Amino acid sequence: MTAEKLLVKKHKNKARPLYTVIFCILLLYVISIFLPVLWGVITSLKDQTDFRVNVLGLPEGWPWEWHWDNFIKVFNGFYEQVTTVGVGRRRVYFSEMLLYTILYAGGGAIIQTLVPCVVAYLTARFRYKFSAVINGLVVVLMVVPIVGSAPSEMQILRALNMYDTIWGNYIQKFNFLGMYYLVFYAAFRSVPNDFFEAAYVDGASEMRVMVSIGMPMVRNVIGTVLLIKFIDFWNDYQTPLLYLPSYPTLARGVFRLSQNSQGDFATVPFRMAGCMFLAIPILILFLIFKEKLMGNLSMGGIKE
Amino acid sequence: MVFYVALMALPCLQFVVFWVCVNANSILLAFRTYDYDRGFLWAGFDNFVKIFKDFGAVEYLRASMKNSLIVYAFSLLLATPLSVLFAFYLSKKRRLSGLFKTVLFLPHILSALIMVILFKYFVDRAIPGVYEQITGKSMQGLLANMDTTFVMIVFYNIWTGFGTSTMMYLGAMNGISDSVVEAAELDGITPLQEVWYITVPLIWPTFTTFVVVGFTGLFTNQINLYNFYGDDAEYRYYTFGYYLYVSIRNASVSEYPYLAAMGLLLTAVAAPLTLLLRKGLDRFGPKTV
Repeated sequence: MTAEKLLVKKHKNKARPLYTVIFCILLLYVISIFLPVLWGVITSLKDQTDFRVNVLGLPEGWPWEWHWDNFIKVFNGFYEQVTTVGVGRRRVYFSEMLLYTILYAGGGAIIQTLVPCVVAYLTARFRYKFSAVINGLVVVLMVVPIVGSAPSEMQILRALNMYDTIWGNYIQKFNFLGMYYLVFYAAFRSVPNDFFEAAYVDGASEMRVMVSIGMPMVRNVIGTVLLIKFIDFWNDYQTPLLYLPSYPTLARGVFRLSQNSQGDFATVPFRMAGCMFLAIPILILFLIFKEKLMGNLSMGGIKE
Repeated sequence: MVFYVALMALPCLQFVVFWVCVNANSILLAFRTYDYDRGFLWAGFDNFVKIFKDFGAVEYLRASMKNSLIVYAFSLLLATPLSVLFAFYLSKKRRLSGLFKTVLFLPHILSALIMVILFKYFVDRAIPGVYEQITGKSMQGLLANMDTTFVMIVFYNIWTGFGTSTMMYLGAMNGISDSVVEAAELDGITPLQEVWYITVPLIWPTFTTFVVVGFTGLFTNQINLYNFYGDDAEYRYYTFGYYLYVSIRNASVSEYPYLAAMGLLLTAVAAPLTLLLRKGLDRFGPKTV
């Protein structure tokens, strides 16, 4: 063993206490995250009487006797009361909320991925003065915090008849500002020009070059942004609560379930069951795309 | 050129309407008042005068200021050092790094609403349950007990907030060249010294970003109050972010001008301070060669 290696080895031994301390803190952290989640899953399978006498333990009986029907009851029975101008009051159940969730999260994610992607493609490929202006704008506006423009936005949405409509929400989301524009910009800038030139020589139109050469080159970024946005919108109930009051999403249903005392559903087991509806699809997505989500975050992923 | 203009037109139009017009309208709104018969009227600085008066008198505004600062201070002094240490550990790929990374990331992926609901009932039902089984005495839930409510809310925010920052620091640390670290190791540097003298200076730009983003959060962070309490959080737990969200959700048109003025005022405070903070951190931060 050389002297250098010996030194490094000695150093590594010295390093242990710090690593052990961090290891212990992290282990505690893992336990502290898992315990409530596990407890929540177990609780979602109890009935209220069982929960009252047995807050901590497993549900009563064998696994097939547990209250799996809690999920069915919540799905079919719990509703959000919605009042729409001109339509009146109506009840929206989980199945309808699921539809709105897909429209809100799916549509929103596609828009908020494609719009920055296309604008970044244009500014990265065409070096006009205007492109530089857009670039500068995005960078500057990211740093300047604007607080409380919601009343004004609400007013303008109402004036344009976009308030409380899904298409209006799509237009509201149709913007390129933000970090993902910069991510797309960097990605497009790193594509060598030769790829595009070759396509032009073959007589491809601008549109074709963008769709079949440019976008496939950054498909990984597109996939990741799409995923991050979908998850964000899936979980987001505060924005739709403000701008889409007639279209409750699943997240809003679960929020209401957690706050409301709607007769039979005002129990902890039902609330936990509701949470699982919201959590499980996202957990599945996370398990499938774990590497993609975590790997690409270092590129930038500040949550609002 | 036609292609460029055609594709650029809509996003730019959207920007003009939903950024330029919205913010211009917001400024105008701040100087108006709403009359049910005559609509919006010019009000000069009335809204601002009212806000300044309210800051001295209204409990939730004073609470907002205090709570927003407390949460920021905790995240800066407690969460940031821990995030850096966590990222340091993960970057060395020590024991169970993979698992830790996944679990740190989990609260970021799962809806904050779910985490709040789980946390809420866990500390209010499960923990008292455990306490009772061990000691035989009953105990009030930690959130339900008013002495510990705010502590729990702050704890919750720190507890679930590690994910993003740790990942970002980790990303930055992975960019540090091995040879720098190896050279220092030969000189007999301890890991703590390595964190302080090598890692922190080299990840300074990421650090700056977080401090600045957190600072902006002073005016927008709802500290999950809406997830905890919906519209009904007690005044003493308010933050600016929560206050603005709840007010606009429940406001009638006549209250818009006051809220717009509040937004404008907060922006007028936040924007220059943010820029100053960023400048200061860039200037006085450690220099890397």
